[in-house]
Amino acid sequence: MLVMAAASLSVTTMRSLDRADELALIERARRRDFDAFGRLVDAYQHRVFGFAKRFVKDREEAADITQEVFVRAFQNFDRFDARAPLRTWLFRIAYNLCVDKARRHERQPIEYRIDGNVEGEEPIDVMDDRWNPETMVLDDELLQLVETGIANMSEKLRSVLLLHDREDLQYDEIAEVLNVPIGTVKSRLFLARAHLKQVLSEYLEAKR
Amino acid sequence: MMNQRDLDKQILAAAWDDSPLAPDAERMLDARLGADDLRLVSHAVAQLEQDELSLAWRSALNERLLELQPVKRKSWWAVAWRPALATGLAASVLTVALFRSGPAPSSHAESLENELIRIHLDSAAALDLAGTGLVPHEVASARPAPVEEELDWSSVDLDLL
Repeated sequence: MLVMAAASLSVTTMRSLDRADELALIERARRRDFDAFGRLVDAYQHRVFGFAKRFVKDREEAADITQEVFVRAFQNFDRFDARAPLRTWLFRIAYNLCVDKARRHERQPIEYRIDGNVEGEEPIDVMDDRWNPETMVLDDELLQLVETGIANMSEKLRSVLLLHDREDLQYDEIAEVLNVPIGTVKSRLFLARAHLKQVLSEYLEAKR
Repeated sequence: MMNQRDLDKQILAAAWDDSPLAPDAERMLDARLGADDLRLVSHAVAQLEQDELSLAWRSALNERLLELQPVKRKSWWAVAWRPALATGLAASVLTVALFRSGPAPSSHAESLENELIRIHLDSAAALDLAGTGLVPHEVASARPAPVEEELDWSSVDLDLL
């Protein structure tokens, strides 16, 4: 049975805003309505923090970056184009801050280039029981393995994987956040998932 | 149909160098991304624990945002004319106050005036009631005041008495 992270999902759902509510809040926030902006912070703070934390790999630093994201958003709200999703704008600010931070610390992430056969020598058989969502248990150990796999990825792959699979952004939104073509987003997502799949395969093989 | 090796090359070039994907390659890549095994990986990523921020963090953010609340900036002319206007107004009020009003009556003068009026009214009332001569100050005022010459009598004057 697949173990669901029910708590985390319910928190996300509870805080998420529908588009109409979000637009109304954005309109008020443009006029420097403090309460409206506060509600937008409530809706996005944990998502932005989760992204920053997995990017910079340091909780305190990620909390500082998240704070800076909302401060900058508040300062520049009049420049935000409300036709675009707010999350795209917030993640773009967050991504730029994370990259700046990494550069300032001269902590350029190592790019693990995947060359040759991107899927590995042995393709995974999706009919294999190990990859069956009904039988695959995402216990703490496996989730930790996923976290480690993400942390060991290159910055380029990690950011795309988190924005797409974790934060549910569309390809075009990610392309805007990272300022790259959509084909690049898809390619990086594929490589990131392939990398993670390999990590999980090795773990599941060892457990067998 | 593109072979696997060519697809891999295109994927790597697009991922690292932002090279464009050929339509065939993009179609194959879409199909690959939608495959069950990679969707399961995606599912695993989505299940990762959500990190929470503390109330202290939120409080600190609120403080920073409050500091950024817009403060109405005074334009240079507002800065210049307001003190000038205030000074002019104060000067006008002072001038009007000085020219319009004389010295304020002291409480002493006022009480003296009231006292004189009261004495006059008492005196008039006593005169109406009893006539001249019975009121002490009336009698005193009716009698002629002694003159200096009367005190300076000579012996002749005494003899005549």
